[in-house]
Amino acid sequence: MAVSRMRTVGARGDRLLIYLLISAAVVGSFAVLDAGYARAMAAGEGLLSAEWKRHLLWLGVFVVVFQITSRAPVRVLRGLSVVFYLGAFLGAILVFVPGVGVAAGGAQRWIGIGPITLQPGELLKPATILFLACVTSIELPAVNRYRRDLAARLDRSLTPFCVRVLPWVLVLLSLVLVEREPDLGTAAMIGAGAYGVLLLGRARWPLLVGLLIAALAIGAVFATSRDYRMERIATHASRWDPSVVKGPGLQAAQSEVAMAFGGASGVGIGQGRAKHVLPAATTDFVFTTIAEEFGLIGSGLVILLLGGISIRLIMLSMRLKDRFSRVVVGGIGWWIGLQSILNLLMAGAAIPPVGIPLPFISYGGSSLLALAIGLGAAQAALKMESHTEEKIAPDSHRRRHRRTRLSRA
Amino acid sequence: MWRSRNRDTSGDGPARARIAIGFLTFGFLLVGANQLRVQVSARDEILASADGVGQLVTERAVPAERGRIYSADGRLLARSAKLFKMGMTPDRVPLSPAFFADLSEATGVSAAELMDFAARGGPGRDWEDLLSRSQRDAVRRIRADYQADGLWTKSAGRREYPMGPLAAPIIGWVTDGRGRTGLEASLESSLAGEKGLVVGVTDRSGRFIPWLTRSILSRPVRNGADVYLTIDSEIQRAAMQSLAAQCELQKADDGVVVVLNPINGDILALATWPDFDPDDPREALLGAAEGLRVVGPELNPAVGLRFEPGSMFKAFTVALGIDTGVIESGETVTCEGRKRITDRVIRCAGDHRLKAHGAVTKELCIEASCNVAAATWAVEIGFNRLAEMIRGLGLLDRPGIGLTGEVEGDLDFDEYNKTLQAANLGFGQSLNATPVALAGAFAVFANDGMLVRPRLIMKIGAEEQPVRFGGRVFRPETARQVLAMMEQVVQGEHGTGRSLRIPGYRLAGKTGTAQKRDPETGRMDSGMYVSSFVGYVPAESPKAVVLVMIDNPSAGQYYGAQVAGPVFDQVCRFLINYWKMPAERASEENVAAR
Repeated sequence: MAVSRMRTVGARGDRLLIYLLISAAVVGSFAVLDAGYARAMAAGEGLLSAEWKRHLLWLGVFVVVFQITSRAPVRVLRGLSVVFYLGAFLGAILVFVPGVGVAAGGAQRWIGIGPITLQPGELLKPATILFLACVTSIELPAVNRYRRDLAARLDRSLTPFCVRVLPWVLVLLSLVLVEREPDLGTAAMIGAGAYGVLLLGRARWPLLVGLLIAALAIGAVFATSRDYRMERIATHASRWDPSVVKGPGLQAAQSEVAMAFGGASGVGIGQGRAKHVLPAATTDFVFTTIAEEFGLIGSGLVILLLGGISIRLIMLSMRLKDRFSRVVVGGIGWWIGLQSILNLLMAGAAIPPVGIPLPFISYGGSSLLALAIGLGAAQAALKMESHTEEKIAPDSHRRRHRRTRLSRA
Repeated sequence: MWRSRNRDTSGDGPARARIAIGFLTFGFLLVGANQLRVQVSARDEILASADGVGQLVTERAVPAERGRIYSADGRLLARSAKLFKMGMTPDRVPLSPAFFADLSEATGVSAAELMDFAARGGPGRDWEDLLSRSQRDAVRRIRADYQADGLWTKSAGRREYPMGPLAAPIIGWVTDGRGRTGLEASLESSLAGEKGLVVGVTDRSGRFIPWLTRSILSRPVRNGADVYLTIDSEIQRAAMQSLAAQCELQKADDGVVVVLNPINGDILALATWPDFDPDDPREALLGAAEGLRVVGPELNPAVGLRFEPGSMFKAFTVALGIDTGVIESGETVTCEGRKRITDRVIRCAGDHRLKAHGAVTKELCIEASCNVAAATWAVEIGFNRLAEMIRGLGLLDRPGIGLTGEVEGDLDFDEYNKTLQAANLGFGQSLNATPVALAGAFAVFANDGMLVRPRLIMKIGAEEQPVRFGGRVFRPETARQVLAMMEQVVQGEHGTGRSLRIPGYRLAGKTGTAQKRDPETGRMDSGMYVSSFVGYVPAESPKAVVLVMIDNPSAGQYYGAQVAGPVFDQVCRFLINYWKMPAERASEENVAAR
């Protein structure tokens, strides 16, 4: 009985997760419509903003990519994750290539491919998790210490280097690239994702603690190395100063006051003022409009929704036995949770503005694409695991998978 | 960990996942707590601090449009130019080359300069380059396209004066949006209007969102009123040009021409010299400060300077003499060229030499300008009656035409030797009056002895400025009689203004040549003169009184007819032509016969 139920869950991945995702997509498309009409009206585009239409298009892309990815066999995804990572990494380099890279708002974060612009930094978030999950689950071949031929020497030196050292070098490099765009928020999120892989992948505690200390130290150095970052912190603290509130403190102050304006029950659909004032009303500060118009009830629901998705993913990962699958599912959950927390704290003016979107809710094609790939992979891993689960059952007709798995072991 | 196998059997996985779940749960709880703080517990404090710095609602003043000034013939004399300035706050514009290229194309400011400024950071500034309305719209489009919140435009507050220096002494100019002098200053409250106030919520581009605007706290803008003057732009132009030419020729300190409609007191032209450029008065201001010009652009000599009327005052003396019965018809005074009155000697002068007029009738007193006769009658009239008339003529009042810097006339009531003072008053000395007040006073002869106060402002907005009558000064027949005497000044064979005849037309007038008191020694024989001429065109029921005063001509000539006369002549010829006055055949023949 338990097994047959397991099968139905497994065939579709996790149903609750799907429902949560659909809810998030609905909330997101509404929020982008609501927060976007203010700018659209001001620009004479009419009620339906261009970004809302693009958001719906990207939601379509999300569904297609999610469906394809979640149907792919895990071993294929494992192999592809390396390719995906290298592609995203290349994108992060292309950002700086004139003609391909696109700048806006004083930062070089996008690449233009025909009519669409992509933000490789966003794609690097799931790519890093998938890539590190892949390389940390590779088992090095047993080596014969006493053989002296070239193959054995390479097995002892080059292979461990390529599998155990090089990926981390690449990840560090990608952090530097993204930070240089400059996009400290995204770089920090990529780093946090990598840290999640180590945490869930059971790295030794001294390493984890050491990395945490190092990250804090590097963060402190970064915050103080560039004047504008230090200034941003100082600005945030004094955002209600008359000299600051209309300039650099505008976003945080306006977001905070809008939420306060909303209060417990909100000002009502479409009645918010923040979207008329905030420059990033549909992207980084999309939560502001939800909290303003729907009050604490609305903001609480969004918090529960995003918390539910991320924690559900990590809880599901606990059941998984396959190392890659476990780390991917948990890592994606970790990433979504952490990014949500940071964005929500920023919108609530608890921390200085960092340029990271709210998963599912913020407008942004790259963000949705990254989520589609990450969640698709997680869903695929969940399905796969339910198949392997069936292996324990006496009547197994999934030999193909079993054989594959065994052959790799 | 590297050696751990794919298939985990250690059972440590759930523990690590639980740590992650715990961490995220803590994070989400933190978010929830923060929302609770912002939206419920600390809500009032946040709203209060936002209100304190004007972030909850925006209050914005809506600048009122400054009123225009029109001449009586509908010519625009002053208006606010629809020009704009662009400004930028560096931190809030995109640093993309395309943005600066577009902005440069729209405004004409070099892209390199804009980019350099934006890249350097620091406080915002605006550019002096003036933008037209279409350029302003282009800048606004760029602002929307690039979401450049730090880009703004504002009205440049410039004032346009289509007649330039020709109307500048009346209009004045505006500095920093406020009238500095002239009507711009005196009518500031009417012209400026009242700025409005909008209180509400603005969107990113700074526009108010209609349904979030608080109408109770907002106040509509009241634009400045348009002002209509009595000035005729063509007469003003002619008067300004004639005056400037003559003042330059005569090397005068300053000069004034007042052209007045005697029936209603409307000032048709108010020309002064030296003139200045209202678009850029700095040069004139500097010239006045350095003493290069006697009269600065902030002083209108027509209302701000006092002159002795000199001989032209004899017309008033004779009129009062007739009205009071002091001068009986046919009565003569014998002029020997000099007359002792108390301890002083009054002299009649003609072409620098003492001149005895012989038996002088009241007609000849005006025509030949005899000081002795005028002084004799003035003493008989007495100081009190003269002073009463002077008051009645408004010569001691401010002109009251609405200009800045108007001064009152000046008559010394404390002088102990009232007899001598009356004698001096008889031919226009020991009295100082502004040119506009004098012109107004002379209009009584063209208005059957009734005084009409000069009027410059016809209408402020819809509010008509009334014609102000000053009451009767002379009997109607006296006024007509004196006007006929003044016709002889031009048309008569002894007339001091006989050089000013215009064939086919009968003109009337009176010359005036007053010695100026030396500002340093206080003596009258300083060699400084005020040459003046007041005239009527035509002599029969005049349509205009023209007063010309030229202060301190230093090119050798100083007689009123020689110095001020030519300006009167040119203005009259212009008026005749401009109003298409019919020529009188008979008098044309008269003139031809002479």
